[in-house]
Amino acid sequence: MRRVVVLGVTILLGCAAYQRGEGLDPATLPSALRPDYELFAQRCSRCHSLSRPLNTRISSDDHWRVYVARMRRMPGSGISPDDVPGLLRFLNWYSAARRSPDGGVGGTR
Amino acid sequence: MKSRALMLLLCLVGVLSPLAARAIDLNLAGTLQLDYLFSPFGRSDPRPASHTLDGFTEELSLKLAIDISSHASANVKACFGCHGFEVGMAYVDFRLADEFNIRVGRFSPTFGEFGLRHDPGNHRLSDKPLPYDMGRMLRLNAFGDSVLPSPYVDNGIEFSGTHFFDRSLQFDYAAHAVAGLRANTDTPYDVDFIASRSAAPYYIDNNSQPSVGGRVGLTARLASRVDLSLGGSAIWGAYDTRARMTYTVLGADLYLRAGRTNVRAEYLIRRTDMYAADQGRFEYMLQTQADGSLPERTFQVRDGWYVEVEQPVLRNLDVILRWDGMRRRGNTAPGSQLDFEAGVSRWTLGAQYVVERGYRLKASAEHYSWWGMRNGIDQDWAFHLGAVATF
Ligand code: HEC
Repeated sequence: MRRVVVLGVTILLGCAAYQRGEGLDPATLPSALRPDYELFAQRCSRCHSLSRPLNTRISSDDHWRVYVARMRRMPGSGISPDDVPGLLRFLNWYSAARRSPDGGVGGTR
Repeated sequence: MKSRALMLLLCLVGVLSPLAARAIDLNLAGTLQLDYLFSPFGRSDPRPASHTLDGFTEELSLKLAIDISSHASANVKACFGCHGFEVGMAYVDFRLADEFNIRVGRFSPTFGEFGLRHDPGNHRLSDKPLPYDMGRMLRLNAFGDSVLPSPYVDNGIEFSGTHFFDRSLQFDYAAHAVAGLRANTDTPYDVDFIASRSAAPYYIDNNSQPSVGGRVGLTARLASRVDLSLGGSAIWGAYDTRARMTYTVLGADLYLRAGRTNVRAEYLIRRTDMYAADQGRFEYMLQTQADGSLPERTFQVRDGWYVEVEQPVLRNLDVILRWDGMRRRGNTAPGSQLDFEAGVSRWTLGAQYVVERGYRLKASAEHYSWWGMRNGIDQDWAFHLGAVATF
């Protein structure tokens, strides 16, 4: 039993030492965008992980607009029309940050 | 023939690529999961060849989402799994308003909560809850199919819509008519998931009678980081080749999110007619009618449930605890390994570790408790180790 506990603690410490989550680290984002990111992290992780939207190749603002509308209309999405402006602010910023030559802002790469 | 789904997807990409330069938006997404299932077995229980789909299994899906305008979109998804290549989605959506969307083609009719998360990239354990199982449940052949396959893919039409009463209350509905679950016989015991999804009769219904169903749901934002959803679903249809044997599936689902903790629960029940007019087909005596003759049909009931809690413990590590189960009640075929009433309850403890965004490892241990098994087996263990990539 002690060995199992030691193994468990070692695995946990190992995981903690190498922290690369599905989402972004809010501390590295421009402060004005943090509330929008929090909204995105809350609303877009109900049915799948955040890597779905963060790893996708969607890049234009128009494409994000129809995508978010499609996700919002899914049963039980919990994404109200009032959430949309904040979600799009974050997603549009994120796509632009990924495209920019000095990309990588806030772990966007 | 098997690569039909992939060909379809490639043709669609080819045809639509030039259009992408114009206003049409395309997005390609995919998932790949490799899972290893290990189940130890004792000396008194030599493993039957058809025990379960253990060892390595791989599931792959590739999906093309096409936004033609803000009112029209199409989705095509090719999947590779235990039955080779299949078309998991090939449908068009036309939306008149948030409250009214028409979907036609091949899709998963809206039912319950798990359906939206059936893709292995979307659920956090390696396998599906027992009422939706499609092959990873132990003692699969003794127990038979689950309550409803997931994904349950079928050809037909669905009307759906969603409405926000204010920013904290969402109502949604969906109503569908599809070909329906099948058994390729007119004297069936049960629906046959493999016949229902086999590639050969994709385009034809076995009995020309649509199956109908739908779901209604309510989602309430109880606090800024607390959401609660409740839903109720139903499906009714005939499944034999003469459209005389029917099935009814009912379901209730709940989803609660508080902060970063997700709690999900579902209950499903399916009542299925069995062709009965021949006592030789059954283990237990059939109830005769007033004139002494046997009835044309009897029925069996399968129900199942799961309660699942997902708890992030570190930024890259989630722990998942699940209790699920399934029961079967009804007459059996002669020599069946099941009693009139049999069931299973399972506890799963699992973890999901994010190696890199989109790349995860999944591990879980499962303990099965059985009852009503004639071979006296009452417990089993199973262990999963898998990797999943979403791209
Ligand atoms: C109610 C459930 C739900 C919510 C909430 C949700 N999604 Fe999705 N999302 C889905 C489903 C279902 C899929 C398709 C996965 C599959 O193929 O099985 C998907 C897939 C995606 C994909 C991959 C491409 C595709 O079409 O398959 C992206 C990108 C995406 N979602 C973005 C978002 C964003 C951004 C949000 C938040 C605004 C969001 N999702 C919220 C259900 C949801």
